[in-house]
This record gives sequence, C-alpha cells and structure tokens, in this order.
Amino acid sequence: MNEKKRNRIFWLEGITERTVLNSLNDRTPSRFRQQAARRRLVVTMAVLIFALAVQILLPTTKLQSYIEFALLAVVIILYFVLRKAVRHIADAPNELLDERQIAVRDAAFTVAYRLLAVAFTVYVLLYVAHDVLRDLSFDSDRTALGFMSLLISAAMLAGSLPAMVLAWNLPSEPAVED
Amino acid sequence: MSRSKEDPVFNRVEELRLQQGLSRQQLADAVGVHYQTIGYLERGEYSPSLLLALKIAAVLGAEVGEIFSIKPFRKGK
Repeated sequence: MNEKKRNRIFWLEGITERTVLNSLNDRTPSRFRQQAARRRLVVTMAVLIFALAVQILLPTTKLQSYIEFALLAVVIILYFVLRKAVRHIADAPNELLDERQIAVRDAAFTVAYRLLAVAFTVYVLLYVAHDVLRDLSFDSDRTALGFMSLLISAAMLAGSLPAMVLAWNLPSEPAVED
Repeated sequence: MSRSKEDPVFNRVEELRLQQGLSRQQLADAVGVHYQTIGYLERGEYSPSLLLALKIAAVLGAEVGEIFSIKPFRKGK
C-alpha cells in the first residue's frame, strides 16, 4: 500500500502503480462514492454500448456514421469515468490491493465473464439479423461498416464489463470516519 | 461483499477500535488494508479472512472470538 518512488507500469492490466494508488487513496468527494450514482453510470454505459451494437442494423448513411462516432466517443469517455468510479480496482494487480479489494475484483470478473457469454450470443444474433437485412437490401456497405460497429461494441463491452459489475455491486463507500 | 450474505459474520470492531482511540485509517494501517475495508467490515458488508481477523484481534488486544461471531453480539457486551 506504500507509494514507491518509481512509477511501475503494469502492462497486462494497462495501468500504472501511481494511478492505482492515487485512486485508492483519493479522498476528494465524488458522486460516484455512492452506489446509486455508480449504478446510473453503469446503466448509461450499457445502453450506449448496446446502441453502438445495433448500429449494425441501420442503413449506412452519413448521419449513421456521425451517430456511431459520437456514441463511440461518449462510451470511451464513460469507460475512463467508470474505471475511476471504482478506484481502478477492476484494473489493478493483486499486489496493490488488499484482500477485500482482490475478492470483489475477482467476483466481478466471474460475473462479467458469465454476462459476456450471454452478450456475445446477442452479438451473434445481431450479426445474423444484419446478414438477413443485407441480403434483403443488397446493400454491400452494410457489411464492413456495420460489422465494425459490432466489433467495437463487443470490445468496449469486454473491456468495461468487470468495472461495470464492480460499480454495480460495490456498496456506497464508508467515510474515513462516519 | 461478505463471503456469504446468508451467513453473516457479526463483529465488534468499531466498538473496540473506538475504545482504543484508533481511527479507521490507523487500524487499517496497522493491519495492512485499505481504510475502506475496515469501514465495510464494521458495517458488516465484508467478512475478513482468518489472517485479517487475527491481525485485527492482535491490534485491538482481544481474542478473535470476542470480536467476531456468527451470532449477533448483545448490546453493551
């Protein structure tokens, strides 16, 4: 738990030691210390990621690509907000966490993996629906652009889901002294 | 957060910590965990490992069985 002089980079987790320690020891008030606020963030994130995925079913137009880009930008921003909301526990290596933090992180990964299996089934169904629509409309542009939005959505979901589960499950934080 | 919501572990950590005049942060530092872990533990939202329970007992100067129980503690005990 002690801060070291050298800022180690954890390549596998994609995070630095200083980021985790600063986040864990951050005492500044934040709405995301409360479970309700974190859950609202998770719901928003889930809706946006799903909206990104269903872009595959929309006809490829300029407006659709603008919407897709805007959605992606918001999802990426929310991804970083979410990581901070759970104090980077979802991304942190064991050596920077205590036993409770490791336990809740591992439990979140287990749930996230199960949810991901369900989500990927939905993605496959979306792709099948997209394929049917393409055959009906003879719109060859659907394949490349639509499939890309589905892939991006799947990648964002896979990257965010452990933090989303953690944000949903963690109770409101206790103060240093209640 | 507790290992089993069906089988809660009751504790007197807050009571004994306050008797010792320790803050959550001080107790957390003494046992090597984050201060929030002490907070969650005191609220009954986390059940500690045996190792952490032993460390807390050592710092608070009591037996583990005096601090943690599977039955609720009587008030004032």
